[in-house]
Amino acid sequence: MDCNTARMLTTFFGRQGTELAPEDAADLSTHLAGCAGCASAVRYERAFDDRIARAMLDVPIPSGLKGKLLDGVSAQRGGWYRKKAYGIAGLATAACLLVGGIYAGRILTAPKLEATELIAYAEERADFPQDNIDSYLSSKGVKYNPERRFDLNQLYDIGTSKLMRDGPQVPVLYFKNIRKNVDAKVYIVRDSDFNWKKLPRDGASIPGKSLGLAVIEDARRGDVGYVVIYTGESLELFLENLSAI
Amino acid sequence: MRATGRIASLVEEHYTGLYRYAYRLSGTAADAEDLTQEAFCKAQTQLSQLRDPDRAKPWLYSILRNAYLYRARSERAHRQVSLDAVSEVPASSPEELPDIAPERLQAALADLPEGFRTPVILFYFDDMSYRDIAEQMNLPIGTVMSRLARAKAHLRDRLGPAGGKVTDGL
Repeated sequence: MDCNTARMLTTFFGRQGTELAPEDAADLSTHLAGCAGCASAVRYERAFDDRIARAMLDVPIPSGLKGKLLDGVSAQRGGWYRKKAYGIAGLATAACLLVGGIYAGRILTAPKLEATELIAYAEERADFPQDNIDSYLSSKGVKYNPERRFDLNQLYDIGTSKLMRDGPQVPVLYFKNIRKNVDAKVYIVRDSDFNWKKLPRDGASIPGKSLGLAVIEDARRGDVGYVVIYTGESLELFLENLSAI
Repeated sequence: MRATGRIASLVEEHYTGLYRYAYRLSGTAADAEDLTQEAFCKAQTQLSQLRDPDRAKPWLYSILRNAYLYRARSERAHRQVSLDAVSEVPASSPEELPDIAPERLQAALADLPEGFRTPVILFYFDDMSYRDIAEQMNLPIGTVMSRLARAKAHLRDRLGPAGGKVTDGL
């Protein structure tokens, strides 16, 4: 290694002498051992670096700086939290307004109830002439012709419903004996809907349960039966002639 | 550790180094204080980016330098020396070296363009390696070494035994 190379490497020696590649550092070390001029240059470089480093770090730290810095970051954090809180409050308000708006909209657009129409409709529903029952049931493929006649004055609704959790919907008549405050559901079933003939003809009730069960056969069709689920002490309360008791 | 605790411990551990670095970059105590505060506030907002706690120091230095550069860009360029004429090789013996007054050092640093000032400051601060400086400044390591050599030569000219001769030329 010549002096020029050695001086150049000296320049890039680094503060700890660790910046040179190991082979360059070894070559430089060998050269410095035999070259007083370059060795002096390295000593100068290191002495100069030490002085600069000392001066570089000689910056007095203002008293209370740490406290100021901590206060500064804390104030910034406080600002965030305030912003966050305002943001959340704003969102909550917007959500309330939205929900309120939707609710108000539903109220405004809900169908209006007119007293006269309401009463007329209630009367119409309350009065089920035999014709209405027949036409509804025939649309469901059955005819209303039970062996024992129900008191149609107690009939307050008609529709379809499930007799069991699993199984088809069947026509059902809803009766209510107002005097006794009891009611009955009469499901009209066919053989193809349910095997209703296995139910006890004389009815059944389960001890501790307030419901009773009765089965009435159709007067004309052997495949049609009327399964009655009722409250109260007797099925008779829903049949003609006896319902007035 | 929660973010509040983390930033407090970063302040605790690094505020002196960061302030000194800011002072050497900016040249005034007031600017140094502002820059240090700004660096910690920025660090607080970007704390999730610091995955490796061992890299906190270069990360903070990098934030501070960016804050400084942002300010420096908006300020009028000040007088700086040309580095074309500085000497490359020391010519005196170590015994002739005087101690260097911090304010003389600051004046000499202020004459350097930022691209040369930063590596030389980082070099003397905690003996940062060329690789660390290159990473900080996002420069090739060769460029860092070359800038360092020229900046040190400038400091030798200004602060060495025959110091004081300012080479104008920008």
